[in-house]
Amino acid sequence: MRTINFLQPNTIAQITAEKIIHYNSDLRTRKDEIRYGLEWILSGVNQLLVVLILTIPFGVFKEGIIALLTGAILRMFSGGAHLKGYFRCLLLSSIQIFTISFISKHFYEVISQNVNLMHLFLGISLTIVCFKAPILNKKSNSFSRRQRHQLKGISIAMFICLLMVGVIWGSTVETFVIWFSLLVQTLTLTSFGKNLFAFIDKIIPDRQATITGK
Amino acid sequence: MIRVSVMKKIVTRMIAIISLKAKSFSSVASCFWFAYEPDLPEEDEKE
Repeated sequence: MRTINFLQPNTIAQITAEKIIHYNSDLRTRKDEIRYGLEWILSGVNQLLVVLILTIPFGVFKEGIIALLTGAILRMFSGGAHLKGYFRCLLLSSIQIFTISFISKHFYEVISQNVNLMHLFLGISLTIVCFKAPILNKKSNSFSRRQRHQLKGISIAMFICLLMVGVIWGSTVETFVIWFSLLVQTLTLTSFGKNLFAFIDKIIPDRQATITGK
Repeated sequence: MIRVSVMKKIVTRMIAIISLKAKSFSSVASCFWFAYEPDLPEEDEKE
C-alpha cells in the first residue's frame, strides 16, 4: 500500500527523480538524494510564492521577505518544533510571516511605545536559544554531540547578529519584523511550542489519498 | 540540430545537479527552514 499526497513537493520530487533516472541511469544510486534536494527546493519556492501572494496586496512585501529570511536563518541552525503534514506547515508558516509583517507595519506606534517589553522578551528568547537549541527532528541522529554544540553556538551567534541588525536599523518597522521573527522562532524551541504544534496536528484532520501500488 | 532525447538528458541532468547541491547545502543545517521536514535520503538514514 503506497500513500500519495497529490501536489505535495514529496510527490512531485519523487516523480521528477524517477524521470531524471530514466534519462540518466548512472545517477540511479543517488535517486533518493535527488528527491530530497528537489523537495527542499520545491518547498522553499512554494513558501516564497505564498509569501508574495499574501503580502503584496497588503503592502507588506518587503517586511514579509525580511520575516521569512530571519526565521529561516535562525531555524536552519536552531531547529524547532515540526508539524506532520506539508500543507499545514505551509499554512502555519505563511500565517506567521504575514502576521508578523502586518502587525509590525500597521501597529508600529503601539510597538514603539512598548519597546522595553520587547527587549525583555528578546533577552528571554536568547536564554532559551542558549539552553534549548538545537531541537532536531528527523536529523536527530545525523549530528554528533560535538556537531550539536556547534549548532548551538551558531544559533546563538545568528540570534545575536540578527538582533544587532535590528538595533543598527533603529526602531524601524524592519527592526520590529526581525525581532518578532526571532521571538516566534524561539517559541518553537520550547515545550509550549512543541505542545502547541502537537495540538494543531491533532485538530487538523489528515487527508491522504491512499492507493494500492508497488 | 540537437535531438529531443539529448535535450531531455541535458535538462534532467541539470536538475539533478542542482538538487544534489541543494541536498549538500541542507546537510549542514539542523532542519528545514520552516516547519516541514522531508524524509531523509535512504543513504543518510543508514549512516
